[in-house]
Amino acid sequence: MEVGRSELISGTLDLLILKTLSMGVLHGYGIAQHIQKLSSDALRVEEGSLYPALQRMQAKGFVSSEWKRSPTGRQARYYKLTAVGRRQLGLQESSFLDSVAAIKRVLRQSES
Amino acid sequence: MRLAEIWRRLRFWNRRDALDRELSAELGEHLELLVRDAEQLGLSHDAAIAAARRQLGNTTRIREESRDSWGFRTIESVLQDLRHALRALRRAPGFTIAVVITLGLGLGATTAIFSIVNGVLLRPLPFPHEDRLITLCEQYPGAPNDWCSVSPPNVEDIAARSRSIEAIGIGRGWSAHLTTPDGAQPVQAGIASPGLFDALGVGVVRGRLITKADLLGRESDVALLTWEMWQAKFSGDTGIVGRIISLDNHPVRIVGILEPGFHVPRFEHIELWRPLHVDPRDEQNRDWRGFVAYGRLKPGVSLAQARADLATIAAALRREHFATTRGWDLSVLSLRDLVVGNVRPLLVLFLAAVAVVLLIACANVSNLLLARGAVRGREMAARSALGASRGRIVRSLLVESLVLAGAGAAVGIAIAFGAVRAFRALAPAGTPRVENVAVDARVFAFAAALAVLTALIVGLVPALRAARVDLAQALREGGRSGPARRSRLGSVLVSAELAMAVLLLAGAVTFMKNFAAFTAWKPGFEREHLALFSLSPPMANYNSPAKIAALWDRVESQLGAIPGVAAVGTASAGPLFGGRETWEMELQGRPPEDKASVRWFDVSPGFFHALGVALLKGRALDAHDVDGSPLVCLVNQALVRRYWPGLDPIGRTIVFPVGKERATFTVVGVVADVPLLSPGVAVEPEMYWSNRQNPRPFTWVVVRTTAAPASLATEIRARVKEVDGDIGISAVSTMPELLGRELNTPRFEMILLQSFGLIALALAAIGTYGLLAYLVTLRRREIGIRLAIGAQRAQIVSGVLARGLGLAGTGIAAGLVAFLVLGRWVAALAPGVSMHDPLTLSATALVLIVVATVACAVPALRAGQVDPALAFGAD
Repeated sequence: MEVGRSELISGTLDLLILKTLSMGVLHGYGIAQHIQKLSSDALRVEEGSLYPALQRMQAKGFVSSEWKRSPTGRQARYYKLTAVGRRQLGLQESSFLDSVAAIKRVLRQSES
Repeated sequence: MRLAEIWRRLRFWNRRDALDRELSAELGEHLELLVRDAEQLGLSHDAAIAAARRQLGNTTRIREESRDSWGFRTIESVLQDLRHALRALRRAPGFTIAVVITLGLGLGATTAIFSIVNGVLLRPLPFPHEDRLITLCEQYPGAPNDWCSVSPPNVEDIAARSRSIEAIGIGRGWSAHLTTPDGAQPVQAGIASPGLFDALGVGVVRGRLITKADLLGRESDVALLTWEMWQAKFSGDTGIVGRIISLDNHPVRIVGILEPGFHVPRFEHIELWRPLHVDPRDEQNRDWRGFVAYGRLKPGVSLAQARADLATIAAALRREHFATTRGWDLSVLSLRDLVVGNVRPLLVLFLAAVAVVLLIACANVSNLLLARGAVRGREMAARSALGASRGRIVRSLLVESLVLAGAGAAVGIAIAFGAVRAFRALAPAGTPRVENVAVDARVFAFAAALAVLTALIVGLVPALRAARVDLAQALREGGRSGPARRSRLGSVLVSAELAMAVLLLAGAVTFMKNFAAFTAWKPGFEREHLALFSLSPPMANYNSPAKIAALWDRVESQLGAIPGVAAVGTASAGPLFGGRETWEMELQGRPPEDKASVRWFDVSPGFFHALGVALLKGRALDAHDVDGSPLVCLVNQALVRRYWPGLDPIGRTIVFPVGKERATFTVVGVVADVPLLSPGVAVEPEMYWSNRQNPRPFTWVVVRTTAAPASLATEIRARVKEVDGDIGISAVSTMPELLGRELNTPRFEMILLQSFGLIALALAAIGTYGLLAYLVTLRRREIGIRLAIGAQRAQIVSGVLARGLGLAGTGIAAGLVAFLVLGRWVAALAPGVSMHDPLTLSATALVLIVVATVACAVPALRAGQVDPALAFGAD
């Protein structure tokens, strides 16, 4: 593992994608850019791994997709959050925050 | 997986090729954008492409992983495993055949025994609400273990007082003769109360059932026919209802035909039912425990609730009627227990035994799989290097085991079909519900479930082992990683196999000894030259004691005149023939409330002489003991021993109380005990009075012959017909035939356990041989080196032999210990045979040692022939 760059906590990739898409319709490249920019490059995503996750979330119905012409004039697939996905985002977000809070508590306790 | 998701996956699956193309395009697009980004940062075109590829990752894997969402990746990959397994097994036909046959034997034997258990124990009896059907048993001194019966007045009282029973009736056999133009024909007839048909829920196809009005206050003059009898004897004549037939010269009107297939449990052979000809409420019959009760509980009433209800009633009945009968009580059984309770422990034993056979087969197959896994190390390493996960490899190996177990189950079901057919032909007479034994859906389901379980048992450990490969080492070693560890598990399995084989063989030897004890029966008389049959004269013609006594006189003298006949006697029952009648008697010198349970017989004065049983004391019954003279009887030694120990029985009296009447017999002689066929079961107290003094219109005839008894059968029948053509006469059999019939059950048990024992022995021997042969193959090079540096061949041979015999020794010791522990359970099923006798144990151990030695010898000798040159060659 490269030092200084956090490996994604497993399962959080889905959450990040859902969160990203909650702000608007994006293609895969855009999602990857967005995650890296917002995390100031701290979260290093092997960008390809976005695609299996997107396929999986399409199967689950969290995300839908559509081929559209991009502003640069090329064909690209755009992903969009569905109503189910939005509900799922809420669930995942709160459970993630809960566990982060719990982990923090444990860490603080063992330091003191 | 939710329904919507399945639907989406199906849609994706349908256009998976298009999706794959789209994904490729999407990834290409992404890559181009990344290249563009990198170039903007100032990289050269080639460096930019390399950086972009690194950032995007392995596109092949991305496409692979994405495909998981299109359709049903698991199912597809399992199908792939299946194809792979079939290919792998086709490449190893010897291995495959060995495993399929071994598993087939184990699964087949288990499935066959399960079909028997299913048909006999598990399938419900063919009655509506059969789960609510019960029977009642009276407990009293001298009640036999294998019989369960009640008296009519008790059942009347129970029916009136019980809050848990919805319907109850009683029935028993009551032989009769159908008068036909060709003379009297015996009919399998029975008597029953209407409640019996109500409780069992049977209806009629024609006419009506019997009712209470048929029952009380009159001679029974109506009858119900079974459907089968109607077809066989009356050719299904539709005008039969209302017709008068003559039973024992008494006119009887047929009132109904029962539904087809209806048989009363315990009286399956009865083809004609008449109403009870006695008043069931008559106090005279309070002790006549000759009836089987059939009751149906109210809906929702459990057996435990019924027991509680009956316990209250039993307490009341005890106070009212049985204050002087020590230990009188009532018990409740489910009707199914009445039918199959006797065979249940034996069947459970067989199921346990056959499960052990299956376990041995599993151990063998497991060992084969371990050995195969060891030589396939390189294949596993290669697959793992190509990216197969450990889970995936384990799964593919388990699929292989499943294929093997499935093929084994197919062979097993074929074996079970054959075995079930054989069982139905060979099952000892009297085995309940044989006709139900079949390979049905439940048996199929059982076999399938067992096959899956077997696959997991035999496959899991070898699969985990095989999948745990150290890549570098496995590829370097050429796939022979860690033989030492594998052989340790293999050794444990072989020892366990041998232990289980010892267990089964010792069980088989026990049942062989049980059988031998039966055949060695020494009744105390010469048993080869006896012909036996029963007579039932039409009651209407022989309606007084004097007439019946005169008939017995004539029969005995007619038969005595046949050349080749030495002596003739008649008796209501005797060794291996006739029914069982006991009563609680009052014996002189014992307090009247201390009633003695005594089995009673009526016999002719010459019976014991004809049978060959010695009179030990006093006088025999003679021609002066007739109706009207003082009542006298003989007793056996067991009665004296049990009730009058140390006293002289001659001249003492025995009172036979029937209701308010009391018959007082004076003992005039003592006869020798006739040991029972079952070894270890004590002879019961018995008394015998003369069938000239108290004649009954039924008897067995014992003919002592000088010629072969079977050769006189025709002559005997002719002479009886000369006396009276209307007398019903049973088939003439011989004492050896009766004994043979009694031996059927123990012989069947013995053969079954012997087969299991032999299969177990063979499988264990093959397992031992297989393991040692495998070890020798693995160590060929090492052995070669040792020979090259001067080891003696004899040392090598004895080394391998010692290893094998060490395993055998451990296994045999463990097996013997297991048998000693489990033996107590088996002891109950083979009465009179000691479980722990040294002969059984040492004989079993010896057989195992010999077999194990032979199994070890071949690989050991082969080890001795290893060419030392191998030490220098490759593998």
